[in-house]
Amino acid sequence: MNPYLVLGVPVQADDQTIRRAYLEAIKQATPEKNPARFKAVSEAYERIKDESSRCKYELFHQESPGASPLDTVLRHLRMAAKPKPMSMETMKEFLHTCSKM
Amino acid sequence: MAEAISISAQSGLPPSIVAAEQRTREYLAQSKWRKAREQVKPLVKLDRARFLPMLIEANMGLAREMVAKGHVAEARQVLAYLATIAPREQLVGLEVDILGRSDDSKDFLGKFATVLSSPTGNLAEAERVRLADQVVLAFASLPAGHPAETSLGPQLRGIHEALQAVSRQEWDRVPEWLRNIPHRSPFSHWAVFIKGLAAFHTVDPERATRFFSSLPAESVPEKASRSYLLLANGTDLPLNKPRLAESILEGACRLAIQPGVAGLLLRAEQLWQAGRHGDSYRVLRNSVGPFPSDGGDWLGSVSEFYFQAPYGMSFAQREDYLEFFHDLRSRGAAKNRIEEMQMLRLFALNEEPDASSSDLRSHWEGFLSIHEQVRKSSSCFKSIAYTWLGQQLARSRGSSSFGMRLYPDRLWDAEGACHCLEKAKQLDPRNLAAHLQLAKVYEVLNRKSERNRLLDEMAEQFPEEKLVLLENARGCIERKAFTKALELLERARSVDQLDPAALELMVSTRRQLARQHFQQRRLDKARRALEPLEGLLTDQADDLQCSRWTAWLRQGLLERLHGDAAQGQALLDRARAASPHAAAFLLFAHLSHRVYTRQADSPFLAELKVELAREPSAARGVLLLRILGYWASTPDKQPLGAESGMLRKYLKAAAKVPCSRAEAKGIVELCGPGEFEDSASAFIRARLRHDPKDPLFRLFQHMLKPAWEYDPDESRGQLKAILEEAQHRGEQEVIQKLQGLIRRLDHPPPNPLDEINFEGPDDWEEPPDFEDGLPANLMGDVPELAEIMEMLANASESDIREFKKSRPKGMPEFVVDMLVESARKGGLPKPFPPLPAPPPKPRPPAPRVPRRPPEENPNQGRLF
Repeated sequence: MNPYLVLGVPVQADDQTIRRAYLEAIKQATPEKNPARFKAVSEAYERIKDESSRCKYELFHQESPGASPLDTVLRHLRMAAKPKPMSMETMKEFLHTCSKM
Repeated sequence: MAEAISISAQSGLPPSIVAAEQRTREYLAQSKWRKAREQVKPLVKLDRARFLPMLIEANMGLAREMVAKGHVAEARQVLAYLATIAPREQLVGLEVDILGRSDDSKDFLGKFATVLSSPTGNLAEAERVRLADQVVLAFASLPAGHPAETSLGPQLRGIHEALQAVSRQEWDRVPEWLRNIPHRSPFSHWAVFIKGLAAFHTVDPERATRFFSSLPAESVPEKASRSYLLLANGTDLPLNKPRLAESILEGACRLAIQPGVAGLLLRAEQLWQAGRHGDSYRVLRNSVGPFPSDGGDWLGSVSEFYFQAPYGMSFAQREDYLEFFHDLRSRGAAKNRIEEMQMLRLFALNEEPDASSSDLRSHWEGFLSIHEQVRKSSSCFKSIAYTWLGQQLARSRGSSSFGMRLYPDRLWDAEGACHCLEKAKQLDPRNLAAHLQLAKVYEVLNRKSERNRLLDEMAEQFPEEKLVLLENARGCIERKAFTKALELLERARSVDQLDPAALELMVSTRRQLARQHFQQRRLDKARRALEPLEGLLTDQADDLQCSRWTAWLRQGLLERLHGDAAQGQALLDRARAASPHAAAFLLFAHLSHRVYTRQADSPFLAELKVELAREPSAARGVLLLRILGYWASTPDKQPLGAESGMLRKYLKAAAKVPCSRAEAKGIVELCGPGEFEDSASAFIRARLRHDPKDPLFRLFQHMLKPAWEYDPDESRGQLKAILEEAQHRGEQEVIQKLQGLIRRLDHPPPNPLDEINFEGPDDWEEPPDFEDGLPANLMGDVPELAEIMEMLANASESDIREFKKSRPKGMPEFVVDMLVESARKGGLPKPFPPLPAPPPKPRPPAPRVPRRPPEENPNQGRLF
């Protein structure tokens, strides 16, 4: 999984920003509370914690972010920051569409 | 028909009626209401109790369909008919439906309020939910003064205001509005849905999932929640129901990405799953403007997927997929800079080992150039990239053509490697990997002065880096600057006390320094050099570098040769007593003596021969083989042909003595294919006589099969049979090895000649005839031959003997003699005497079958 996405930092983030995001993330997901998330966060941090690691990641990483295009998009959306709610108009339209499903 | 007959037998009805009933059920299931109605009408006359419910269902469905299409008048007619055949309470829902479609909202709400206030027994729960959903979707609030305003008004307003609060992210107000909806309200599932929405958007996916999962099935909120659940907890899309899947995905896309993307994604997904990877990529490429992208959004992720997926594909799939990108690039049709950059990265990282080094360089440097433009690469980035390129170009291409490792490894592109690593060093002088790799390349190329300069530079640049200290120490040892090497090794050990490489290097350096002093008759210095070794030695007898007995033996020999003979003899006696057995002591002493004196003989040889003729055993054989291997790998090794012969004889005798399976395994693994292959075979045969089904030794036997007996199909069969036995016995190590071998047989590496079309008649060229002698430029075309000839010209007699012994099976010895003779004369071997000229032949027809090289046995020697 894309380590920038896991830590919620932009690709241009510097060492400090990444460190802060990492500390924040492991505070939220301790090994006791959420071991899977803790592992993912720790691995992500190891991959991009300094400039050399980030360069190596960008140059050589070969892991696919998903098993298929759709799986990748869904993983991305689940990992990314939660979307803002729909506007009332969009929600109404959406509910009407659902009533016809 | 058979089904109808069996039903008929159960119900006692005539088969024609049973068949008609079955058809009716099928029509009902397919929502073909009119057909169902026509089919069941005559049946009702025959058996009213049995078939009336079906007639009612068909008419209800028809009426609802009409309502949905806006044909309210026709729906009313059907309802009127239904009133004559169905119970009143069953029609309430339909009546409300029809009223909802009429212009009279007052009537509709009045009816709805009546229905909801009546006991639930009159209306199915699903029907109540459906009606409630219709009311919520149709009315945000009730007209003032409406009779239902008191009972329904606050609840409806609560739902709409709560939804509004969610859309404005006013989370505190959501529960306030939801308080208007009592627990038993027909709208209670809307309250649950809204609570789920609030939990979803306030990042509590588990709570959201709990709420969404408790919604009544097929209600509007439940259908809407599917899109949220897709994002919240990872429920799967029902891909077998494409329309439903698209609706759910579209909801999720509308929420998180943008409307209208779901269809594209599903199409791309279907193509990908069908193995049409290039077409799948094309769907998004042609439809989504900014695709491919390198952003941090979903487009960036899916773009990354398409360029990372090949690493997990099978070889054939990857080739096909890469071909798609090669085609795009060759047409200059890259859509944007990101696409071009990612394609070049993909090509470079997927370059086959036998590809041209210039292709690799052009792809990788092209990638770096675009990266520079797109992302303003840092010097650290470029330095790491050039280090990688240098490492790739410095890959060994193996030894020369005959498969014997008598020649230094050749690099793929030595000059290119040096250039890239130099560049990496310049771009980032702190790049340790580039320095170390360059030092290795210089070592392989035997460019000593450049290597020494580099090592000095590294010592300044990385004064406390262990790897640099070790590398530098090795350089000093090569220059015989042992004192400086020891100083560097002490520093390396202070950085990492437990590093075994530093320890071994230190022991060997102290020993070499002592030997130098002994040879120069500086006995005190020599002994002082060896003193600190005592603390580094081990009691592990098979550690030939650091064990006490080998250390005493070597020191004793040096004393005897250059110093105090009595002290030397005492040390040798001590070593002998501490050695595992006399044969090991004598062989080690003999070989040490040969290295120290550079003579073929030693005072230990005669006793060694006697000792080897006595009590042969596999356990001893293992240590003797290791001793021989140890001395064969030292830098100042001597030709070991005679000793190898003695050991082969010893092992032949040892194979006849019973031994444990582990001992036999140790012997076979140390022997491997090559010089001691016959000894290995003898032990394998002995073990298989003892246990004919032993999978490990059957596997060994298979591995030693000569290349010309190799047949892939037969081999696969044999390996599978051995695997079966190994699985039966639960021998994990053997199972893993066998599975690896079978996998390699099933997916062999591609044959590059397959891509060449030999079928065209113009491809055929008359083979050259060498009747007038070999062409002058032959050596230039075959660099390996030039290399071999040069080596043979300078080889000693013992090297020639080694060369003959390790020549490939099937190469006659006289060929080696011929090569040696020619090499020493400084020319090429003379061609064989010309044969009588053959009668002129017609031009041979173009071969129809693609030419392939003989199949190489992929298993040969791999286990060892």
